[in-house]
Amino acid sequence: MAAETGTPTTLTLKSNDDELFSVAESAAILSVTIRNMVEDGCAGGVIPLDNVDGKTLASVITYMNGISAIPADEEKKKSYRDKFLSDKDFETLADMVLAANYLNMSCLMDAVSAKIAQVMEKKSVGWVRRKFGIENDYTPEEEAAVKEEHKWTFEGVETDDDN
Amino acid sequence: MEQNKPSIDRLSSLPDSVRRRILSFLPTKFSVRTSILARRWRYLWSYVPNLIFVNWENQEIINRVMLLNKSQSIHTFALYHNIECSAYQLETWVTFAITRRVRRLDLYFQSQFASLPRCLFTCKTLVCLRLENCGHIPTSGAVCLPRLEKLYLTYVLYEADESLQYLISGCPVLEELEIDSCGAIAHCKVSSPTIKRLVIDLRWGGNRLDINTPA
Repeated sequence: MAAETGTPTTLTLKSNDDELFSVAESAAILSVTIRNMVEDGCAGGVIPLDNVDGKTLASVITYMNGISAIPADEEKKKSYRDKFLSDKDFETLADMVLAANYLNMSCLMDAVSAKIAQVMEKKSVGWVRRKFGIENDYTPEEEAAVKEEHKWTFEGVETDDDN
Repeated sequence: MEQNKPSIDRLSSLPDSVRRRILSFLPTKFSVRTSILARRWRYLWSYVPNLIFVNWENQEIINRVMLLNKSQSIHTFALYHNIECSAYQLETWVTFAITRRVRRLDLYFQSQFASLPRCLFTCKTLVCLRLENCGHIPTSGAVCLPRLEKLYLTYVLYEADESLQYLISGCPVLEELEIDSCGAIAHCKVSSPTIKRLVIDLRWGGNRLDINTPA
């Protein structure tokens, strides 16, 4: 950790599209990936984050600052997370889950995963494929067989495919 | 409307561990349903460590899903159900969960009262237990839940007034206890050196209550 205790240390993070961000070390080390770099002494200059683009990183930093400003109160942290994710569209959530995984931030991972699950639950198979760009590589026969195998999961499901 | 064109296969490009994590937040019915998405998704659900059954399944389906589940350990086993289920059947499911080192167990029966298997009270891995509309909490025999931190009891039946305290005595690290509608107990006694949060709802009956906790 920083040698001079007491003085807030600032880290500079660089996204894969070369945007630079300043963030307090105390907030940034919510990411285990960044914390390890700091502990290994590789955080002197700029920390390159090769798997995160600038737009997503800006969002993650907002989260880091917001959540680290809340004292140890799980209820308040949870409501901050809910609010933080409430206006994010599906594509942003997918980018965030990738970033949270790369940055090794388990609380953000769980919150985003839960949110994605919550959205997926009510949508049709076609909607999920479309939104996530999942290519259906089954042959029609295979797809019919899988559907038959798990027929019960398609019964009584009402989907709403707006947005 | 559809102007967004995800050029990469966003979700499928995620590591399996991340996709499993997403699926773990879904009721089991929906996580099994994702097998239809594409080949890479076909068996993913069977490695999800949570089994959450929410009234869409019959016993045959639950048995089948459990048989096909390949997780080494089960994090959550939840049954929010309306099905009529024999004591023998419930014991089979609970035993399955215990064998896979279950950490959180929710048994919530909506109409049918369910009879709890004894093996539940000696589960060494359980951290969180939620029981609704089932029983009985015993007054004798082994009760040892060494990791249990959270216990929620709603409309649960007790063999005797002492059962509740007998259960609590077997939970050395219990921190949170919620009891709703314990009307079946005339004299409710809660004594624990570890409980930090205690909620007792005394609807239904003028019970006597003795509490001795740091909460």
